[in-house]
Amino acid sequence: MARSAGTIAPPVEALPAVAGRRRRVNWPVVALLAPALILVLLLFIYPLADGIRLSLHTKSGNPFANYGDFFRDARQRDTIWNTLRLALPATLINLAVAIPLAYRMRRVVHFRRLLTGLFVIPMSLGTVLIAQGMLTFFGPAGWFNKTLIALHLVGEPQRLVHNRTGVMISLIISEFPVTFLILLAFASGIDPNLERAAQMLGANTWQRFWRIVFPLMIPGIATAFALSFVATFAVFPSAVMLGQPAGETRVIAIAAWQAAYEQFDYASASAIAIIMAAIEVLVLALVLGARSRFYRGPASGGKG
Amino acid sequence: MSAQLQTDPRRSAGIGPATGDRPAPRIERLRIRALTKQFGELAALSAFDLDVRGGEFISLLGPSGCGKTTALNCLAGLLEPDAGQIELDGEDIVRTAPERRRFGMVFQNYALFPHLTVERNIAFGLRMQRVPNARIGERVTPALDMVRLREQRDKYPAQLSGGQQQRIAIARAIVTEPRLMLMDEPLSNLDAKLRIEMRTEIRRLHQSLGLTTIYVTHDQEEALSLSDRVVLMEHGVVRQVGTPREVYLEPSSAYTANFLGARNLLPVQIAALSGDRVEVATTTGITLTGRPRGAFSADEAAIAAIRPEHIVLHPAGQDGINTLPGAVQEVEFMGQGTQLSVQSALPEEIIVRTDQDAWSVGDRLTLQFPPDRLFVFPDEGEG
Amino acid sequence: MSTAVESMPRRERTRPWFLDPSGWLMGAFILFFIALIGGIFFTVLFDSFARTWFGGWLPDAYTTKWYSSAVQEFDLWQVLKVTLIVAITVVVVSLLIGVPAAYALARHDFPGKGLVFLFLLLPIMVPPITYGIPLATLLYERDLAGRLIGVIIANLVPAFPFVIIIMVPFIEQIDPNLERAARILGASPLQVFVRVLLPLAVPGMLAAGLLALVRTIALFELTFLTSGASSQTLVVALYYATSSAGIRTSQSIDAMAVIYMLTTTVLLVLALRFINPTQIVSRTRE
Repeated sequence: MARSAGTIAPPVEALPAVAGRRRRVNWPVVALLAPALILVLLLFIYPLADGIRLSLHTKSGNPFANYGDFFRDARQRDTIWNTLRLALPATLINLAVAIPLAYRMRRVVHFRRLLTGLFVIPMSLGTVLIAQGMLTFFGPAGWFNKTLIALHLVGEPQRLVHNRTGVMISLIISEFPVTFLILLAFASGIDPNLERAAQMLGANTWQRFWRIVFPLMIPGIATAFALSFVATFAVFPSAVMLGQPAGETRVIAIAAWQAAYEQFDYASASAIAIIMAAIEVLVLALVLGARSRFYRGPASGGKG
Repeated sequence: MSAQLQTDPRRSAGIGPATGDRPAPRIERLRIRALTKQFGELAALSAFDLDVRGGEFISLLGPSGCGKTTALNCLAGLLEPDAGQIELDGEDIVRTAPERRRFGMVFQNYALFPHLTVERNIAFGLRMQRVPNARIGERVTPALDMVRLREQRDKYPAQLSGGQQQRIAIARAIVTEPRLMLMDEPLSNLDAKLRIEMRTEIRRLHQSLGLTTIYVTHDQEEALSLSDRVVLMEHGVVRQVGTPREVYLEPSSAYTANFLGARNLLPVQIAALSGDRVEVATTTGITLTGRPRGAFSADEAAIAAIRPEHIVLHPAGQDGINTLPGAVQEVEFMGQGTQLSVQSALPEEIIVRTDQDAWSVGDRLTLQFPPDRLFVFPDEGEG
Repeated sequence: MSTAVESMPRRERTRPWFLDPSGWLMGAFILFFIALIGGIFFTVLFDSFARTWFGGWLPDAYTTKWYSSAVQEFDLWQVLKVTLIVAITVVVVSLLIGVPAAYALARHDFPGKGLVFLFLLLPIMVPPITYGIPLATLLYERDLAGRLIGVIIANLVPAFPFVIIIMVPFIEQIDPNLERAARILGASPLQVFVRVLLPLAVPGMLAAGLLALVRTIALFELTFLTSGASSQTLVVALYYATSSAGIRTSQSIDAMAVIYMLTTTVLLVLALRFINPTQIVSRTRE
């Protein structure tokens, strides 16, 4: 019993195979996968590799000149810091809200579909549209400030757009749904009998969360952190529309775009893109590496 | 509460190698009255009464949906009953949170914590009771020995077989010295051979630790072989309570008889009553003599029931009480014995279990229903 | 198996939600989030119909003229045409490439399958701006960017892995015994795929297609980096409009935003009728 939702049916090929058939290349499978693999190679790997080649192509002869320039120029170097100051808090705030919410909602069945649908809407609106709407909504005469004043929470309109706060809010709104849905999937995948077993063994609500649910959610938290961080680290249109693209929200993507489309210096634009990719890959590797040190496996309590 | 438990030396002595004489049970008695639970329209449990003496092994037996698991979950505190009392040694615990009841529970899918080693799984309950670390080791090791899994202590549940996982789940429950042990179909995920082995093991642990056990199952063989008493349930209602012998040999209704293996049910009409015998007529006009199980008046509708293994077979043409000629329609070889379907003047085919391997399809024979084995029950209107 | 329903307590022993502070907090937070999204949405909506809106809670007077001016100012029909051509082409190609790959991944085990899966999902794990700049550079070198074809190629990169990630669990949950039964009844592998699997996978393909469509319409960066004046999609036009604010009235920008939001929301609601979003995300863990 207790086939958890989404139990995967065994793949057809998992049936006992005839001996000697194991080694043979399964050409139909190769044929089915080939177009997708070729497309990733051609449109993703090749451009990135070409970007690396281009970034090493310099007039001075020093292949790392473009990278050196980026780190020597304080205005360029600071974009990393500017981006981190947006990406890290936004990701952590989302996790801090989404973890308890996903835990609380792990067994809520009714109106769950409605809620997930609701959370998915910001994903589909896209960053540009959210930014556009936020400009008015969070503006000095917008509904948000009006409500705060009407509730006597503040005396005068707060400045919530055209600064770091505005960009941060937009990142939180657009990244929260993914974070929440990933965590919800993990939290509701935990066999409810585990918590019942812990309860029968004397664990109270708090102990059940910290000793059973939280450890089993760590892989999900790591995944959610990694995906959210990588996405927020690449923040671009909302940093322009809602922030100060020449000042405190001059993020690394803006630097790369300016190099390519304002200075037409494709070599250094590629270098900046590669730096951005490197930081993202580093964070992904760190988080997923740390994740593998924790328990990762089915979050159910046994056979069946 | 928990402090009291761990400092009581008499109780701690409970965990240890089986010594032969049974330690005193940890409770005197459990008294359940009028426990009721409704799921929407469905009465999952209605007016469930049960008295359990300390040290007893009780099975809740019935088909799926009969309310046995609901009863167990109410007892555990995982479900809140709509009404009723649960009294443990005079204390009403129906509002007590599950984590404060000091019960042990074994789940159908074992519910081992996948991120903890075997040792830490077993130690979990002791940690929750704030047993000092040094004492935890002293108690975990004997518990591992009891289920013979000492070498596996540093493994994770996923590395163990189903039977081993089940034993860990039991060890995890008994190490906390629960006042009451609850088991929810613990053997249903194991294969047949292992199931029988584990049955013996569960009974041994129950005996040697002086446990009081409530065991939920849909398997009549399991219930009969393990229990001191069996509670037979249907549609949220208790149908019969008794020792395995009582419920098997003296079923109180057609339902219990049928559930415990009396596969041949015949709709009949009461013809005559005389003391401990009753004469009934089938719809096809055959008259049979059986044992009444209930009060009857003449012409009343009733149900006659008999187990396949209680029917006696004779060569064709033989006479005697409750005999009638028949023809073999199907033969199923069962390993130990053979099962026959026999067509006769009765309205339905009769299933017969016999040791003789001499019958084949088309054979003519004489069926005999020994009057002592043919139960006649009041018709409850359920076929 | 038979007791699966029964062994799961249907209502846990919990306080009713209105006595439960964590329930209140949860409800309050959800309402807050809805209020934010709704606030943003309705701000745009009201603004697009506002004759003027000076500092009050609601506009001072209403008009529909911004919609007609949006059509003229932004060359809306052209932009919509480009958006639809790009999105539909991308979705069709993505399905053609993604569904067979998803079928292979869902139904066949082979060494290195995990790596292949990861490799195919790379384009959605890395944000588009990261690979978009090198990709756009390359497309410009080949003279493909600045035109419709370049925009389509660029938008394909994250779209077909997205189709794969949705289709793999969808195909996995189709009972493999159906295919086995068809084989035993004499169908060839190709017939099994076309006559058994495809019909069963249609709801999943529809959902994947719609979600990919919505995502492609919403995706800003790749189109922004590769489009020319005549190959802008709605989002990009919107972005240019806001960054050149002052020239354009905010109301007509909002009118365009409303058209855009309605399109995506309708498509999304349609897609959600076919698929449960938690299912999709739960598969992204590998």
